[in-house]
Amino acid sequence: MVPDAQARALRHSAGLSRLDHVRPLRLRGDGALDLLDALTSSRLFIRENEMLQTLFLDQEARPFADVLVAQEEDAWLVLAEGPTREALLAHARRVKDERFPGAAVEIEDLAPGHALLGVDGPYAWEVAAAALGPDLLGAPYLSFVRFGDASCLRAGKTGEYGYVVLAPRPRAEEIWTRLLEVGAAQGAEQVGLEALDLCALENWHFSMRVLEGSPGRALDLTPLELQLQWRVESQKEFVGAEALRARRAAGAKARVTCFTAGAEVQAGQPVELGPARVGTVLAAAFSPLRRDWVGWALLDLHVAWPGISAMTVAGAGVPPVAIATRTPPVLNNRSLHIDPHRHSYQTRDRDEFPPLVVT
Amino acid sequence: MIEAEIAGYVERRKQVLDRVRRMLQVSLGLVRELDEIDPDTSLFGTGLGIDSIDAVEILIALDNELQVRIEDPLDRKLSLRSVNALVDRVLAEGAPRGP
Repeated sequence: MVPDAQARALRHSAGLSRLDHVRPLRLRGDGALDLLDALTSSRLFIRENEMLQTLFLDQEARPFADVLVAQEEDAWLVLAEGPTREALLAHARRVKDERFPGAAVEIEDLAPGHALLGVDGPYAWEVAAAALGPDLLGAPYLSFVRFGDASCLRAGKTGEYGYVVLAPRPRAEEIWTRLLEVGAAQGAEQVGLEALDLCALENWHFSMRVLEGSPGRALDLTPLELQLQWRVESQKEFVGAEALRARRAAGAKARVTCFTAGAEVQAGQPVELGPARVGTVLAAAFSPLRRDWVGWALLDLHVAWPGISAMTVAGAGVPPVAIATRTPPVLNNRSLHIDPHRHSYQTRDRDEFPPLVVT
Repeated sequence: MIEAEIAGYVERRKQVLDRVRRMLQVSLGLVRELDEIDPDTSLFGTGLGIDSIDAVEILIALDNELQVRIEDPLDRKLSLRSVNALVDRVLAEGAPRGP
């Protein structure tokens, strides 16, 4: 269960997090672009200081890593969620050896010497700019700004303003201390991965943790079922492309769909329409701000649509729980209405915003 | 009975989704098959990655092709969050919600 204070901070002020689950790599040298192009499912078109949200797939077209790619001056930065450091490095090296055996690509594991920090929330921009510098204020989404040996990436998966700081460890500790100092006056809280994952569920941001439970692994999901085709360039050859084309030709049978429920539901529970099983809960969590349960379920295509309230989630020994499928996000994020030029955490009580909860 | 109600609702929703996808394909010049535009894909940021000029194009196309005019600024922000949010907005003009 996500602590109320953490959920509230992420939706009303700012949440500060240590992103130890994100694996940073740097690729450089001749062939680095070709290797990255083979690894990523999207069209790899990014300008310097821009980033791309993409996927690494496995040979069966299942997501292997949820990836941000950034183009630096002479290298490519990869931030990957999902696999262990060892598995990520082995994957990259295996693809390099299979497809570009002669290429002089340097794959540098940044994790031992670097740390990643996150700042997310409707006033995250204020905390991040006070800690790192005002240059951040003008940074568009999916861009990054350098501060000496640190990089600040404008990203995040909460539906709010989000920043990811990558820095050598000693410098990262200085920045963390500064974020905590600045954040204390801004209502910021330290938040954990569970709180960030809840925000991702509420805002329909894909997270590898959705797949890591037993139902997710067993269901053999690809970008087709996960509604992640925007991260796929169908004309490109990449790891998993062939399997994905085959899946597409066969036609997806189910689709991941957002739902809310008035009582507890858990990953792995069956979704039923009358006596028929029509799906499986992939992930669910209690939303302290909505005061209900928010989840994602893999539903048969004929019911994988928002606006249906006739399904239930069945559990052993407990009454069925009614669910309502919804168009995500299920919150009216404050960041949608906050302009750094006009608003401030200090004036928040005087500023008017629409209700946070979407009914 | 409930299955028939759902089937009717889904059919109506599919038709609107198809029209919204075609409108987005043309307005944004998307080089994608219609069924590659997933219903819950966001429009801004990640997803289709539209900008404010694209948003104006979509609003004009929505008016011209689907006869849905969105005047209220808040309504515009919420309706342009995703493909399905646009579908919801079109359905709200007259179609009943699902069972």
